[in-house]
Amino acid sequence: MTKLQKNVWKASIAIALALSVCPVSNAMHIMEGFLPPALCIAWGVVCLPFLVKGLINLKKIFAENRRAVTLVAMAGAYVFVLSALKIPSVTGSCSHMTGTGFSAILFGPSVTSILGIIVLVFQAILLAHGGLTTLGANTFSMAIAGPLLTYGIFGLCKKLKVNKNVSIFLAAALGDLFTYCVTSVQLAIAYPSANGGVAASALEFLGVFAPTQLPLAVIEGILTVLIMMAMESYARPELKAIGYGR
Amino acid sequence: MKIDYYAYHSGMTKWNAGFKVLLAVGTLLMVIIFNRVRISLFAILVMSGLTLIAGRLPIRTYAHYLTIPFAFMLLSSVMIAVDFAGTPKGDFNFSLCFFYVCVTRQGIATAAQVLLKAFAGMSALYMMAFSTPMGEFICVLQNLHLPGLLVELMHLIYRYIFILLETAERMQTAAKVRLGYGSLRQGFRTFAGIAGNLFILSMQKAERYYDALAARGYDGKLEFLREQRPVSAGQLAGAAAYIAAIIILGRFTR
Repeated sequence: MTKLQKNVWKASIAIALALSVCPVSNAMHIMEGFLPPALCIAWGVVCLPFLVKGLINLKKIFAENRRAVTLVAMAGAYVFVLSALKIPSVTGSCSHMTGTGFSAILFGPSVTSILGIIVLVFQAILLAHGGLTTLGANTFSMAIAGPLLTYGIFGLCKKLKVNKNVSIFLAAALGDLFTYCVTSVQLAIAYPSANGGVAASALEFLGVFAPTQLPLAVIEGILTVLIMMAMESYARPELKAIGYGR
Repeated sequence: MKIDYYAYHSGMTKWNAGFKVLLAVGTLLMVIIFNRVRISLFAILVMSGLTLIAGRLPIRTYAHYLTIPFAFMLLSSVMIAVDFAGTPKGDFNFSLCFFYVCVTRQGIATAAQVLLKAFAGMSALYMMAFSTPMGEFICVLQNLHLPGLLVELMHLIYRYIFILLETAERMQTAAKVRLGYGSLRQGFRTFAGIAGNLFILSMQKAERYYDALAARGYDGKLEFLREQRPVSAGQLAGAAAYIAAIIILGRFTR
């Protein structure tokens, strides 16, 4: 283990111990039946251009290299499994990574949008997280908005020559936070507060989910860094093959 | 991941997949469009009844799965009922030094309505999920003419998920017997190691699976054998009666 890795471990324990009291909830999937029909459709429509772009990009990738089909499918399965694995925590509670930030760093946001919506359908049907009518809203927050920010921050940090691990941490953690903010706003638009309207309601939702989501975002960041470090030491050729780290 | 297992062993597995998907999605739509307490209750009754009686799902399993979204549901509906304000505006107010926590009767009613609606949605989704194997669900999407690329990816991802999960579980067991989750620090390290290793394995497997596909004549189109399962007259009649009942409940009662 290098000195750098050691330091990251140390930092991770300190933060994790400080925060390990709370994480009880899953990534924030809006539940089936929670949104009114107009919003279900609206969020679906908002997602469409991103998904179409994703499909076009994928088609291009597959036309250039047919072998990519199984590779991309494996990547999708990997993101699903990553989000289904329990994160270790002292309280014995069960929390999960979103995995989409990780996918955005590796594969870029357009492929992630397609993988993300497929993973969300599977999560709804196989794990009972999320739902079909709320698929549009969940896709926007988890497969589009979060990954886009993650990708943006990762690119920006690269330009500014920030330390790679720091930039991966920032990208994954902030992407996760952004997902949670977007979900809160989505809930607030659906159920505005009687006294303060959408803004007040958004603050309420942000507040009530903060105790679980803030530590989860930090943990997601730490784990993403650790996973990328593990990969870079074992899987350099595979990472190169999918176009990461050029 | 047990839902998949139950889907294959349900008493409703042999029903027409399109019929089940249509019934579930139709219920979902009617529940959120009408947004009436009595319709939500009726849908919960019928959908749970189907899952438990026709699908023969053990009631304890069903109850366990209903608690999964519970944390999200509870927090969100409390937030719908509760409001914060500088002055006591609600029907019930709690003073907290600088501001008031207000609860209005209207807010409680809305929260209860949303809760029931969400429960009805879950029961409809579960009716489908606990009786329809994913492969058949994807075939239904194919019949709806979703882009072929998407459907093909879904088929492959579904298959690969189980391969990766099994590998991950084996690695977790191996790590556990070696005290890999002994402390939190060690747990994080183990988790990252497993995730990293899983990625390498998955990429290597992908290479081999493509070779296997190509050896079987894959040229960009996956075909799956589908069983023909006609919808019986009784099922059709039941569905029609159910939809009619919901419309009557929604339209003609106050």
